[in-house]
Amino acid sequence: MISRGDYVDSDVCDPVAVVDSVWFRYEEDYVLKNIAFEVLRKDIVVVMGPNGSGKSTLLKILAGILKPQRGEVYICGKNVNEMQSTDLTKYIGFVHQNPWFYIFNLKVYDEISFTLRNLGVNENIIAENVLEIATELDIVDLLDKSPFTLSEGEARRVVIASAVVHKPLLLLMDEPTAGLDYNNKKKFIGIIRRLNKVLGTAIVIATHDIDILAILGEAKIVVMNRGEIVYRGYVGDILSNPKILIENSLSIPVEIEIAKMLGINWRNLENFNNLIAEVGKIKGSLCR
Amino acid sequence: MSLTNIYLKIFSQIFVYHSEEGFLAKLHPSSKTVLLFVCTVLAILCTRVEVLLLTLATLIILASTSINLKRISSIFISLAMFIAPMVFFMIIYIAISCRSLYRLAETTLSITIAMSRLAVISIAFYIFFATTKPQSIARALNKLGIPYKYGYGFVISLRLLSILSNDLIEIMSIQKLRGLNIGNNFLNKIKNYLAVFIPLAISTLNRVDEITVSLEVKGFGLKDKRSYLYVEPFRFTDTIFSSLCIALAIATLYFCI
Ligand SMILES: Nc1ncnc2c1ncn2[C@@H]1O[C@H](COP(=O)(O)OP(=O)(O)O)[C@@H](O)[C@H]1O
Ligand SMILES: [Mg+2]
Repeated sequence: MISRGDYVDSDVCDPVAVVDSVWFRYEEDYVLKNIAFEVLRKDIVVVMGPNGSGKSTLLKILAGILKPQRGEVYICGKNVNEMQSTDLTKYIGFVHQNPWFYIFNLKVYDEISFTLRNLGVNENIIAENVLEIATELDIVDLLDKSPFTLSEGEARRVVIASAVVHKPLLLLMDEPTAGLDYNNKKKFIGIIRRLNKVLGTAIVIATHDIDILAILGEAKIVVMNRGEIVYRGYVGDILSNPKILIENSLSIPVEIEIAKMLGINWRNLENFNNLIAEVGKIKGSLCR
Repeated sequence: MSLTNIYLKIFSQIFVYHSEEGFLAKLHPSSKTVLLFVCTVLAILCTRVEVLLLTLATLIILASTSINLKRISSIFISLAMFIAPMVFFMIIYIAISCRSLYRLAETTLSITIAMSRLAVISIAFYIFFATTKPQSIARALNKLGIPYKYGYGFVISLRLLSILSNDLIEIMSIQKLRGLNIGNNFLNKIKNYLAVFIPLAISTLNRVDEITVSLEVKGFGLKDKRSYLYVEPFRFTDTIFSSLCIALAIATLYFCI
């Protein structure tokens, strides 16, 4: 993976993001109530919760798009609402749940390179980076197309590419897998994992897609309901004790259910990966 | 938040129905239409400042039965923010250009009248839209003889306006996060506008498309007449309220003009 350019100070901070007792409301009722958590360097945090639990709001607050009524958010030790917008651009990659909020260029290539160009990066380096990300997300043959004709899943992958292309320190992704089929979900997780492992990118994924849990067994998890954090821990733990998921209108991935039924020890990573591969194939063929 | 965002935020809330309780919310839409009509006529015809201010006070008291005071004051503040610069420049202009104190007082009075008119009309409209269900507005328009297709079109477009301004805020924030606004030359500026308005246009078209399809599959507009399952009763209170409104308005106009 191509390393991060010198437009981001590479002496990465830790923790990358701190949410300090945040309260937020749009109207009368608070939709986030006393939320506190940290995102460390090399963390992958999955924020799970039913519709309306406040996941999107939390991400927007982390990105400085919304300002909390009480509490503060710090990115690399700086208050996010007081940061220069250039710094925010360098530090944060944001994927909104509506991909059509991004797209305005005539070519997919220009759409993906938008942030890098704004940061004044040299065109050769841009080309390398765009190609790398496009290859990983399997959208190379879309690069010359117009983004306005894309399907929802394709548009989402373009938006993901344009949010990660500048290798930010913190990636905030809201429902990034909505509209993606199983194979594309796996490719998506692949690139997330590599950004995380190779570059130490901290990643926060807000979703109610339980497929992600089966693929991202090693991640941290935060379960939200009605604006409160009701559980925090590791994906692996919550899968062995899925009560919390079920109590919060979520469920466990089919893979895990099957593994439990068959008596396979899914916590043994190798067994589990084989199982996932098999079930993935079945799911993939069902989708086709 | 920038000033643009604040304006947009306020604008997005003006046409949104949000109050389900209290006296005004329970009133029949026709009574509220009468109130709206009477207030508008009064504001246009009446030239006496004390009458206008009294009407405004009455409206605020009425509003406070169903809308909480914080919202009412936020509407007032936004109205003030909107007209304050205009008033400010006018006063300065008058102070510089006309020397006589009498003229100054006279013009100040006429500005006050104009502003109270604006306030009365805005608050009357705000009250109407904040306390009346969109469906009821459409139904009331239908009763007045306007085909229900157009009534619904009107109501949906009002709702869409507020969604649109919320979308605009989000899109601006997203593109700013992607590094928009860093370049400063002319070409960049045009590109900046495109980066906001193209996504806005596309997501609005998408929404309109969704609305159209979901209306069409439900057979909307198939027949020129339609029936209603839910009909609000025109209560005794409504009769009294409407008559009172009309009587008061006629009396005021009689003494006013
Ligand atoms: N722009 C908005 N104005 C008012 N209320 C909103 C707005 N956006 C979201 N909400 C409300 O905030 C709550 C949390 O929403 P959201 O953060 O989108 O949840 P999630 O992403 O978990 O589905 C919901 O009850 C939603 O209705
Ligand atoms: Mg959401």
